[in-house]
Amino acid sequence: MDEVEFERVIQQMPMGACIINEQCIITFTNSAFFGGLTTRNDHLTGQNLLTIFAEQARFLKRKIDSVFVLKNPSFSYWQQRPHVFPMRSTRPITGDESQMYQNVQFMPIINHNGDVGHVCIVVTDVTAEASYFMQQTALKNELERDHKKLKQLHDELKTAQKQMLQSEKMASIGQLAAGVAHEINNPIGFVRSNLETLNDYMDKLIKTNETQKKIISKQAEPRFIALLDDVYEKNGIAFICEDLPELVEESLEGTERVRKIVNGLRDFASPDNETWCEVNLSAEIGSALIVLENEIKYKATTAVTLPEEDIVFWAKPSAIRQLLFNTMINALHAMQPMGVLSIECGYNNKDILLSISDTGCGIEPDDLARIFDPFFTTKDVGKGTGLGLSEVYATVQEHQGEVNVTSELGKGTCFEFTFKADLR
Amino acid sequence: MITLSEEEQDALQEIMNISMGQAADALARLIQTKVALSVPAIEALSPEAFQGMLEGLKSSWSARQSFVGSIRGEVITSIQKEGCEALADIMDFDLPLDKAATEELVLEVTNILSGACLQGFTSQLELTTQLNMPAFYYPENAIKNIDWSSVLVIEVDFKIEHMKFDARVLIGLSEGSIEQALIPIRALLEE
Repeated sequence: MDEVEFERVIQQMPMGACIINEQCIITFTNSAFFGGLTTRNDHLTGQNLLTIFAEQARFLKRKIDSVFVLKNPSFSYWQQRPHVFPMRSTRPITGDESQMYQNVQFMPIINHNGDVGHVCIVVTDVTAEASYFMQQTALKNELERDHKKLKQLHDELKTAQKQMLQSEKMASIGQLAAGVAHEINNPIGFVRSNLETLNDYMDKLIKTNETQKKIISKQAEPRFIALLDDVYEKNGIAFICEDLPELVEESLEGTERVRKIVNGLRDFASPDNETWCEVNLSAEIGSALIVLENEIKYKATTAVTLPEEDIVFWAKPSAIRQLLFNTMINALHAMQPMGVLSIECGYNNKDILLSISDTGCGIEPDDLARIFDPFFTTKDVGKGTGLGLSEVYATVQEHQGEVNVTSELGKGTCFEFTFKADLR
Repeated sequence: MITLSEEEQDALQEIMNISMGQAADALARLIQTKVALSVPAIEALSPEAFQGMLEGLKSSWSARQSFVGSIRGEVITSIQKEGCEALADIMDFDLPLDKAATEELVLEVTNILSGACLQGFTSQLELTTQLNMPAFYYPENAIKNIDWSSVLVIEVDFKIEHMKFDARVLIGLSEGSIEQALIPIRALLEE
């Protein structure tokens, strides 16, 4: 091949080539380089590269200098510097990009003395690769975003599942409680009734015994009386007669307490029937306090103010029970021992007012707006479902009532409920 | 495992000393700043030992550059992050460095160092090689599918004292290339 043929090959090469001398004067450009430029120059040969491409002059000079000094090629990549030379995209019809993405090589051309006489700048069009790479990157980012979203969703689902399990657990506890209540109810029933009978028998026996003793002391010989007194004393009959009624009385009281607890458990556990009925709010408060007695006794004293006449209104009994229970439990959890749990209930025209307040830690002002949100909880993970107060809110809504919460950090929180007395 | 005779080791060491000195010189001329360099360490490493060496690069910026020709291998250059800004300043980069500019700086310095180092010793041994474009390298994952049993590594440190610039150049020669590089060395020793 002769020189003309070589030049033709270089001219037709599908990459831009531009040769400069040590003064950065352009000595040659091929058609891909010249034709690709978006700036219109009549000719490039003889002109200074750094003047023509003034915007990239600093960068070009740095690269070219290093090639002249080190006699080694230098490179530039589209990732860091996408458009070294202003060239239009080679995909003018279908491409999204208007400018060509370029990889540029600066190659030393060694002369006869072994020095770098010229530098050949080769511009490779990598628009397609760059575009593909950027698409892939965008896709990857999108996938990562989706993945993150899915993961979040998955976590939420897991939490929801956990909460469902929790409420199922609560439901089975309810069933268990109902079962236990039923089982206890029967034996405690006959224990109580037997105790009452025993009480009656005991009264009669003691009275008979006393009468007997009186008669004997009047009629019998002194020796016989002394013997009897001795037997009485040895067996502590006088003390037994005194203590027996107290023991029976205490046992009866005990069974009464068991009965109340059982009733409380049964009320708590009674299945969610959707029927509305006349609900005795005063009684419900009483039974809630009994159910919570164990929680309360180490945490707080209670101050309950109820009107003499029972407050009765049209409501869903199980929902109201749950409302009382959830609100009281929260109040108890907020308190360090010993606090005061106050419950007040009364009428205001046609409204029923119920307030439940504690002397606990209070609610952060930022949290106050969110306490009724489902799953909002400040308790540790696994300790609270964040459903209690949302159930309360749902119940209030269902009963066309209102709830107002005031709280002061370190002082306590007050839930004020308003229900319609004439909802029916 | 490659074993070099004592004479071969000495000769190779001598050649490396000269060529790395030339590399430091060229670099100093380019950036108009004095560059200090360590005595090149030449060592044949097992894949495990080489992996261990790469582990040590994790806190630095790294780039790799392959070379092909009569000898083949890769140059891995790692530059401590601390001195980058100062170097960028004397190399006429815009400060502060953004991500793209940092990458460009690391690739440029890699290209300069590997070019200079490789050229020095290939020209002394009259070998011909050509460097490919450098690419950023994150030696985070272990090298998989290793099909070699040992690699000859030439390690040199370049430092610019007053600007905390510290770069380590590892030239790894592939197994077949070591024999190739030893031919001219043995010829020199026989003379």
